[in-house]
Amino acid sequence: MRADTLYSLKTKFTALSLLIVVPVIFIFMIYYPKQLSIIFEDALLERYTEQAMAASFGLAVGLSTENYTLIREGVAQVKRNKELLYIIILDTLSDVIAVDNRTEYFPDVVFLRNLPRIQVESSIVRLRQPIIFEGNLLGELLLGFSTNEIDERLGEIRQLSYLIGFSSVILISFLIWIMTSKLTEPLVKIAHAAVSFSKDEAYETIEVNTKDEIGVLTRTFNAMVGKLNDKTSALLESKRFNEDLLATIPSALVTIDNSFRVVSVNKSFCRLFQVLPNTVEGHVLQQVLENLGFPQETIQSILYGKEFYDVEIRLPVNQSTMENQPDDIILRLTLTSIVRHSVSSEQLKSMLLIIDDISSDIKAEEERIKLIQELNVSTTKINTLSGLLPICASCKKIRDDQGGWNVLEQYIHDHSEAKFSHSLCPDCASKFVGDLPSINKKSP
Amino acid sequence: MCTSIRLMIFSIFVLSISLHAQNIVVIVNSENPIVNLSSIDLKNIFTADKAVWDEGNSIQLVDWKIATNVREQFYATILRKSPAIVRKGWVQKIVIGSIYPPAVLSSESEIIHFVATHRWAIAYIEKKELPSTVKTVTLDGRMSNDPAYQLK
Repeated sequence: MRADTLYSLKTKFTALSLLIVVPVIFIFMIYYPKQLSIIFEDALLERYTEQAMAASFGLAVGLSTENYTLIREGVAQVKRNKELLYIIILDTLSDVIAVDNRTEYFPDVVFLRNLPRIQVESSIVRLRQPIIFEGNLLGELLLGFSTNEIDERLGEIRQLSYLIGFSSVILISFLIWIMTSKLTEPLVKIAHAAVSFSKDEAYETIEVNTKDEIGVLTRTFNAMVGKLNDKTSALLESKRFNEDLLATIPSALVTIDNSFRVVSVNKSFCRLFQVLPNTVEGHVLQQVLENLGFPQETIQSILYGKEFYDVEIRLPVNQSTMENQPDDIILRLTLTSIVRHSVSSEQLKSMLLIIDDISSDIKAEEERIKLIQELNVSTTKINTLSGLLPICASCKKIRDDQGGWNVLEQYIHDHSEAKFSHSLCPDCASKFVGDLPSINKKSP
Repeated sequence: MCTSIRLMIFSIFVLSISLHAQNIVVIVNSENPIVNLSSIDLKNIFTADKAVWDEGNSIQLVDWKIATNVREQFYATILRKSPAIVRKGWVQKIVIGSIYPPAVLSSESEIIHFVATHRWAIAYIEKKELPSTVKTVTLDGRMSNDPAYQLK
């Protein structure tokens, strides 16, 4: 997330500044030569007029006193001007006294006589200067000057103004670029820092020494990031604690949002189903449960059932994701809804699915029950032979519950697992042997 | 109309000059090799149509100031033009810049002195004794005492 160079503040500032400055410079480039041309033209016309006046004065004195040297000097005044195109001297009757026509710019004299004192045409400046001596009009001096000098000077001025203009544009662009770089540098730093911060990269405090708004912004940003870092650290610590806490819980936990997507699972879940968190988190619960081999009716019950749901299910071995599982798995699913409140007091509803593997419990229970049953049988049996048995003092027969007298061997046989194998004890044997001496004698 | 008035004025001018005719000589610097001038050359020199001597040196012309008898007689007999016309020619030449303008002096001594000090100068004065630095030239091969001399 980096600012596009084309749309960066630096580019925008520079473009905006140039949008303002460049037209001003271009206006200057057009306006300045125009104004200069007017000034220059006026100055030139003044110079031409002065030359014409000086020449007419020399001519006036020279003609009236017949001083040809003065006439020559008077004429020389204007002839020194290399822009002179023609010089015409008229007498009082407007007859031509003298003409020096250097170019083709010599028009009809009658036309010239009727022109204003100064006439500026596209390529020529025409002047009419009366020759007056001591108040007497002696004639008229008609002069024509080329505007080449004006044009050349204007061309030079125009070129110079273009050069200055374009140089100014380049220079100003460069200065604006540097200036905007300097101005936006802290903002760019803040932007980069913000991007780094958003990517959980290490945030380095931005060093800005200015006391302007950018400086205030930077310092505030630094402080804000510092606080955020503290809070983030606290949150991370809390998160880790919660994770550790959840990890210690033997039940597999699945947090589900209100759109039935898996938000998180704990380590017990991963351990139980032998999956990685990222293969489950963010996925639709239905899909996750299907992949884990949950029965479809259970999934439907979870998705469309009550807010609280508690059920035991059996996952057949061949449908379970768990490997090395010799028997079916019996799971207890408990779904409970959690209502949380966000910072903006918004009610956030989510669910917690608690999955307990109760296979071993069930097995243990079964074994326990079996054992109890066996014990009960044994107890019953033991109880059969216990208690006060009425026995005949003589024949040793035992009276049963029905009042019948049973031979001792038969009674014990009936009421216990014991069996009899008949034999003679030594006393009885001696007694019997005594009665039977042959047998007794043969004995060792 | 304008031209007829001018012609009339010129005729009166010539008539008045003839009444006061004097013997005029053309003078040059004594170092100038020229000894004779034709009346046409003289006319061309003073109407600015001839600006250099035969040797190629620029002619330095000296004329009298306006309204002197000598000048009027000279203009009437040699140039055969009014001073205004001649002046116009001179102004035209000066404006074009093809010649050196004539020096216009007001006294004979100034004129003689100018010619004496300028090697390629030429002037006209009333006949008189001249210094050695200045000499007269014949006009059309005639001396000033020749009855057929034009500037009488």
